[in-house]
Amino acid sequence: MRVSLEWLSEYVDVPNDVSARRELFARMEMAGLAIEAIHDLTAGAAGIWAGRVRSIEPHPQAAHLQLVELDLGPHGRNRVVSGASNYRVGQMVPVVVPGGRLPGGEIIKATEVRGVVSAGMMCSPAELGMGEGPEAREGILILAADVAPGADCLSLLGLCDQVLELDLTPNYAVFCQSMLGVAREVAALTGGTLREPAVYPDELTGPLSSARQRKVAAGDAARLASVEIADPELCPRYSGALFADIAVDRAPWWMQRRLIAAGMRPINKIVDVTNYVMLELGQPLHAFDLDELVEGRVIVRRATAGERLGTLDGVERDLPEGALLIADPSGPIALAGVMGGAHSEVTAETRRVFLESASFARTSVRRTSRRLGLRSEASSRFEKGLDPALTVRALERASELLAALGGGTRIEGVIDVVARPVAPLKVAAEVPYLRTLLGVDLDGAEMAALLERLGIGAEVVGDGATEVIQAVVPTRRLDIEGRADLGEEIARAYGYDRIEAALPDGPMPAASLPASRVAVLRGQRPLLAAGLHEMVTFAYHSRAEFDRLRLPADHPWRRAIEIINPMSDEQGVLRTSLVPNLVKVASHNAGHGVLDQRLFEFGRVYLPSALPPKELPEEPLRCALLVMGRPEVAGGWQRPEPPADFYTLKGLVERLLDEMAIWGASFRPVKLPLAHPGRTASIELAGEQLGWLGELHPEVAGAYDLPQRAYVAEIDWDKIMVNSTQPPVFGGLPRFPAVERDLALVVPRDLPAADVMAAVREAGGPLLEQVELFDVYEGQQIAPGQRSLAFGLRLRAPDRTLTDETADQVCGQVVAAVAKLGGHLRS
Amino acid sequence: MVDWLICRPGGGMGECAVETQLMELQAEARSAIALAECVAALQELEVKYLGRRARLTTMLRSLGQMPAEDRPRLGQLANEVRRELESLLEARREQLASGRAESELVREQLDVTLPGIAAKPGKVHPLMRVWRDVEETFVSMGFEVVDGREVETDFFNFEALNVPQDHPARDMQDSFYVGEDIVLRTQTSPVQIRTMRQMTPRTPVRLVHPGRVFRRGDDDMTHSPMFHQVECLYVDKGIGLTHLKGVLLAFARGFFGPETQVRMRPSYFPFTEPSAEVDVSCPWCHGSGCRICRGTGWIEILGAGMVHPNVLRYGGYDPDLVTGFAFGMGLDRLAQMRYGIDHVRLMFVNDFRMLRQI
Repeated sequence: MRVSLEWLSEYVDVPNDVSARRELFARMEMAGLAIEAIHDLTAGAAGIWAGRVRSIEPHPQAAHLQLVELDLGPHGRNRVVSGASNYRVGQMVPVVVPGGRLPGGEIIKATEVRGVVSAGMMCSPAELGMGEGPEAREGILILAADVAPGADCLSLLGLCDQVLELDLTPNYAVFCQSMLGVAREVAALTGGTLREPAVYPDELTGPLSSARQRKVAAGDAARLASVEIADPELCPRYSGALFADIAVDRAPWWMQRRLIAAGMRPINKIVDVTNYVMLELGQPLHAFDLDELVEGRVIVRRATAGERLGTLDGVERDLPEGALLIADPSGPIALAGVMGGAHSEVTAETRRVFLESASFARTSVRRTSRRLGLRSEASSRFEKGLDPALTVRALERASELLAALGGGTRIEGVIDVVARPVAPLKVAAEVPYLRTLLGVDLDGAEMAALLERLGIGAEVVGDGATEVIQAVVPTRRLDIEGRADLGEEIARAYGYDRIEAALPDGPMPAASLPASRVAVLRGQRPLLAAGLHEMVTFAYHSRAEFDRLRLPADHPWRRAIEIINPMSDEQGVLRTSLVPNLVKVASHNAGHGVLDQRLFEFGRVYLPSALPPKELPEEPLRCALLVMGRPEVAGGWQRPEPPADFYTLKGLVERLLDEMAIWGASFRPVKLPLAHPGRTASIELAGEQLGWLGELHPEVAGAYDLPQRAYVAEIDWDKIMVNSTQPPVFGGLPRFPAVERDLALVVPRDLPAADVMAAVREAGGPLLEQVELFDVYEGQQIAPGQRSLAFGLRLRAPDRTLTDETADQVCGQVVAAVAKLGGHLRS
Repeated sequence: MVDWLICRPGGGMGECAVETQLMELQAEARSAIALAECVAALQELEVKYLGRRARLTTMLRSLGQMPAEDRPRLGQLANEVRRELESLLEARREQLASGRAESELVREQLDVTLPGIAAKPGKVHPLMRVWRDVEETFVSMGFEVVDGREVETDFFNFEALNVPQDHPARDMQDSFYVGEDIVLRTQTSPVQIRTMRQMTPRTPVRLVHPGRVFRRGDDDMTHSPMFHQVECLYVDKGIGLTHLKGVLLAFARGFFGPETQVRMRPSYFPFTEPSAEVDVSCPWCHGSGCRICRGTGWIEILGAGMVHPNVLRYGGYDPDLVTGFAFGMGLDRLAQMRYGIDHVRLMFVNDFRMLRQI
C-alpha cells in the first residue's frame, strides 16, 4: 500500500516539519504499520517557478517554435523557446530555469534552439510527474490565474510529496488498505481529528465545472437495472448505481497525480474515479457498460462447468467450476472481485454505466484469483476482507466525484441487495484474562478507554474477578474475532514498548539436547579434528544428478519424493542420500581451483513408503564424508602429506565408529553404480548395514569434473545412535609381562586380510591380547598370486608369566589355522 | 696384556721403559683430550685411555707380574696418570658442555620463521555455529531442545496453527507441495503442536526447536527456498506478553551480549494473538546506527506472540486455563549478519573461498 502524504493530509493532519514527520513514522512503526520504504517524489527537484506569459513571438528560424517571454517575479524575466502552443499571454505556467532540476532528475541548461538561446523551459504535466498519456505530454500545464509569479511550483502543486510504502500484515490489510483507513490509524496515534473526504478543491489548475452539488438525471435506476444474488454465502451484499453522460476523457491533474503516487496508471475519468474511490475508501468498484448488459440484469452466481469469459486483459479464460461470477442472462460478464469481462468494458462509445460496489467472500475471491493466477488491486482487497457497510457509501462518493469532474451524471436511485446483513460483532473478554495475557496492570475502565481510542465500542461489566469488557467491533474490523484480538488492540493502543520484561516464576528445570543432536555433536569431533569441513547443502536436488551418478532406473535412490511445484530444476526431488549434493559441493569448489577437499555433512534424507507419498516419509539422519587430495597441513613444506586414498577414508570411518562406541563393525566388498567396483565396501554390524564407503567411480568423477580420485562414505546415523554402546570399562593394569611375536604369513593374494585376521584371532585364543597387521608385501620374494601379511602378536596370561614354549605353541596354532586358508609361514 | 708385554724393550726389566711408556701415554692422552671437539670424542678417548682394554688398565691389572720392588712406585705412578686423565676428561667435558652453544648448537640452528607443522582442523559451518550458540543459550535458560520432522502434513503446518485453507496468511508462506496435503514445512511451528500433544506432565511446556524450513517465493540476497529457524514455545498458567519480553531479553543478552535491548512492535501471525515483531539493539554499533542495522540502531530478528487460543486447543490445552508465548527466529539471517555474508545462497553453496575466511 502506497500512501501519499499530500493525499493523506486531506483526511488527517500530517506534520510538514521533517523531524515531526520522522517521529510520526516511528510511531506508525511502533503501532505495527510497518513502513517498507519512503519515497520522496521530487527528491532533488528545484528551480521550478510560476511564470506569467508576457509575450509570444514566432521563432525567426522555425515555424513550429515560439519565443515566450516570461515574468518570474523575484526570479527575473526569462525568454524560452517552446514547441507547445496551448498557452496565451497573461496565463500562468510552470517554468524550470537553467540549473533547475525536474522531478524525474533531469537537469535543465540554457540551450540554443535554432539560433535563439532558451533560458529554461515551460513544463508539461508529465514533466512534473503529474500525469501520463499524450495530453500530459503535449501541452504546458496552465496554472490558476491568481498564482503569484515566482511562486515555487513544487509546493504550489503539492509535488513535494512523500509516499510511504506500507508493508501491511494481513490483519492491517483488512482496515488499512485505504487512505481513509490509514488516516484513521494516524488520527488514533496522534490524537488528530479525522476529516471525511472532500471534493478536491482544484483551484490550482483551474476551477471545476461544478462543485459539490449533484446533478441527477431523470430516470430510475431500479427500472433500468436489477441485481439478483444467487449465492448469498459468497456475496452477502451487492450495490449498484447508474450513470449517464459518461465522459472518457482524462481526469484532472490532481487526481492523476494521486493515482500515480499510489502506483496506478491514470486512464480516463470513469476508470480513474473508480480507482480513486477504491484507494480512498478501500472499496473496489467496477464499471460495466450498462447498454451491454442484457436486460440490465446482473446475476451473482457460481460458474457452471465449461463456462468461458474473455477478461479485460484480452485473455479468453475457462472459468473454474464454482468460481463466483457476475453474469447477465446471456452469460458471464465478470469474475467477481477479480477482473471484469472485455465485452462489458467501458469504452469511448460508452454512454451509460452500471457501477458495481459489492461485498464478496474473501475465500472465494482468493481461490478464484489463485486458480487463474490473476491478481489485481481489487482482488487483493477483497481477499483480506472488506467492510460490507462500505458499498453504498463508495457509490455515493463516486457519484460526487464524477459529478464534480464532469465524468458522468448519476441516474437517480441506488440498487442495494443485502443478502446477508452484517451486524457489528460483540466480543466479551474477562479483564483478568486480558491482564494475564498482556502482563500489564490495567483495570477494565482503562482497557475500555484504549479500545474506544481505536474506534471499538467497549463497556465494562462487573468488577474484580468477574470484570468483563463487552466490545462492539465495527464492521470494518473483520480481523477482530475473539478476546485475544481485543488483547492485541489494547496492547497496541497501550504501547508494546511500555510492556515490562519479566521472567516467568517457578523453578528452572534442567534442560538438554535431543539424542540426535548429542550424537551429531559427538560425531563431528573426530571429523573436525581430521580436517574435514562441515557443509550444509540443500535438502533437494535435480533429478539429473541421478544420471550423473550412473544410477540405473531401478536404483533405490531414485525412489525420491518429487516436489510438485518447484521454483527451478534444482528443486526436483527431495534427497534420498547426502552424497549427490556433497559431490556437487566438491565439483563447485574444484571448479574454482580447490583441488584438495575434505567435507562432511550431517542431515536428513527423505524416504517415502510409496510414491507419490500418501503418508509422511521417514526422515533418517545421515552422515556423509568426502575426501579428495591432500589434507590441509600447516607446514606442508617439510613433509608433504600423501593424497587421500581408500584407506584414508576407511580410517576416518573407523575413527568415527570408535568415537560412537560402535565395536565390531566389519567391511565387506560391495558394488555400487556410482563407485569404483573394486574399491567399495559396505559397513556392517551384526548383519545390519550401517553405510558404505568407496572411491567415486571414475565416470562419476568425470561427470562432476573432479580433478582427482574422490572417496565418499555415507553412514546411517540413526543406526549409529541405536548401536552406540557404553564406553569400555577399565579392566585393571596387567600383572604379568607380555610376549611379543611377529609372524609373516604368505597367503593367496585374493584372500581378504580380514579373514586372515579373524583366523589369527580365533586360533590365538584367550592368550592373544592384541594382533596388529604391520606389513603387507607382494613382489619378487613371494610367489606370484600370493602376498605376505606380517602380524605383530602380543600374548599375555592374566595369572602367570608366559614361557617361550607356550608362546611357540600359540604361534603354531595360528600358523596351522592360516594353513587351512591356504597360507604358510614366510621363510 | 700381550700388548703391554710387547712394549717391554728386549724383554728385560728396564724400569725406565715402563715409566717412559706411561709418560708417553700421559702426554698423548693429554693432548688428545685437549683437542677433543665434542662429547662423543671424549667418550671415545675415555674408552681408549681408561676403558677396560686401555693400556693403562691392563698395566695396572698386570702389576702383579712386575718385580716386587717396582710395584709400589709403578702402581702409584699409573694411578696418578689415571686420576689426572680422569680429571682432564671431566674438565674438558665441562668445557665442551659450556662451549656447546658456540660450536655444536650453532650448526643446529633452524629458520624459526618457517611455518609450524600441524594438521589443520576442519571448520563448523557458519550456520551451524549460530545454531549451536542459540541452542546453548536456550538450554542454559532451561528450555528443552526437541527434534522435529521437515516434511509435514498440511494439518500440522497450517490448520493446527490457525491457518485454514484460503486464509490470506497462506500468502505469507507459499509452500512446496510433495503430495496431497503433504508439504515441506514452511515454519518450525508444527513442532509446537506435535510436542504439546505428547507433553507429560502437561505444564510447563518450555521447548526450543531449531530446524530446516522451506518456502516457495523469493530467491535473492536474503531469501532462500530452504532456510533455518529456531522455534520457542512456553505454555503454563499465567504466562503473558511481559514474560515473552523477559525471555526474549534474557536470550538476546545471552546471545548478543549483556548490553542488548529488545523492543516489540505489533505485527500479525495467524498462530499468535497478540503478535509482535521483535527488534534487538544492533550488537555491532550498540544502537548508534551502522551498515548492518541500516542506520536504525535496531535489527529485526524474530516474530513472536501469545499463542492463539485455537492453537492451544489444537495442542490439547484449554485456553481458559493456560496461556503461552511462542517465537520463531531465522538462523540464516543471524549467521549472515554475524559473518557478513551478503548473499544467503552462499551459505548452501559451501564455497571454500568463503568458508576459509570465516
